[in-house]
Amino acid sequence: MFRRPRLVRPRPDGRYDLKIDVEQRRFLARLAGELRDLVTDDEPGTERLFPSPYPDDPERDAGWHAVVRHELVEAHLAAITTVERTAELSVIDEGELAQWMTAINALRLVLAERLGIDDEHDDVDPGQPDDPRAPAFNLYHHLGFVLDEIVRARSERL
Amino acid sequence: MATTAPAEVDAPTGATEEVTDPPWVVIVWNDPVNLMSYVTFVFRKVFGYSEAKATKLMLEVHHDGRSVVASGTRTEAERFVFALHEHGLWATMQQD
Repeated sequence: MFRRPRLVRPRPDGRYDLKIDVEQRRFLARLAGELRDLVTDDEPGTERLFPSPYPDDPERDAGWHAVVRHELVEAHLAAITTVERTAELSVIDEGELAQWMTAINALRLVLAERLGIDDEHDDVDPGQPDDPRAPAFNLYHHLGFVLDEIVRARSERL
Repeated sequence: MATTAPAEVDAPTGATEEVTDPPWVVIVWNDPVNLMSYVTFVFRKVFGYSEAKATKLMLEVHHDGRSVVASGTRTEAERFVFALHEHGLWATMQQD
């Protein structure tokens, strides 16, 4: 039976092998880099990265965002920087993989916002291969696959 | 990012307003983007829950649209919400 090769494998030394080829890693790092300005400049489409903890209490919510938002931005920037710094490496440690996980999930959230995904079954119609959104949906699904592989590998260490 | 499970927090010995307040609950809402495997992993990582408990809560979110995933003082709840937001989950908090 065909089995997909694992993209992320725990190593005996506590680190992880990335079985993602270097071109793919550079591509993911470039994508992550594009998030930098979006999160820093509070661009539209990043709302999913900054949820409201007090949806029924605008005053408390504003207070929260005033205090916490920059910390969340910093967390995302740190993840982006780590992905860029480690894109050439095929072996990374737990902390670095955690940052890859954060950055890839953030990419999915932003892409979902842009694609207007409101339902988990939202997708392009397979009967419409010329749909201009098809490449973005493909990327979205691919990021999900990579993310799932990271989760699978890290779950083995919990 | 939060990479360690929070330590058990002992109730403060001094009487504080927070202790007598009703507890705050942390709610995670269903969203169409976050993967089920990812949400389960985040619950295990952030709260230190077993795989079984994390999976149960994830399925509640998935099927019921929301789940109360933790409770505590307002400060504790805010700490959890921040960790969940760091992971891109849609979390809110309210007084029970």
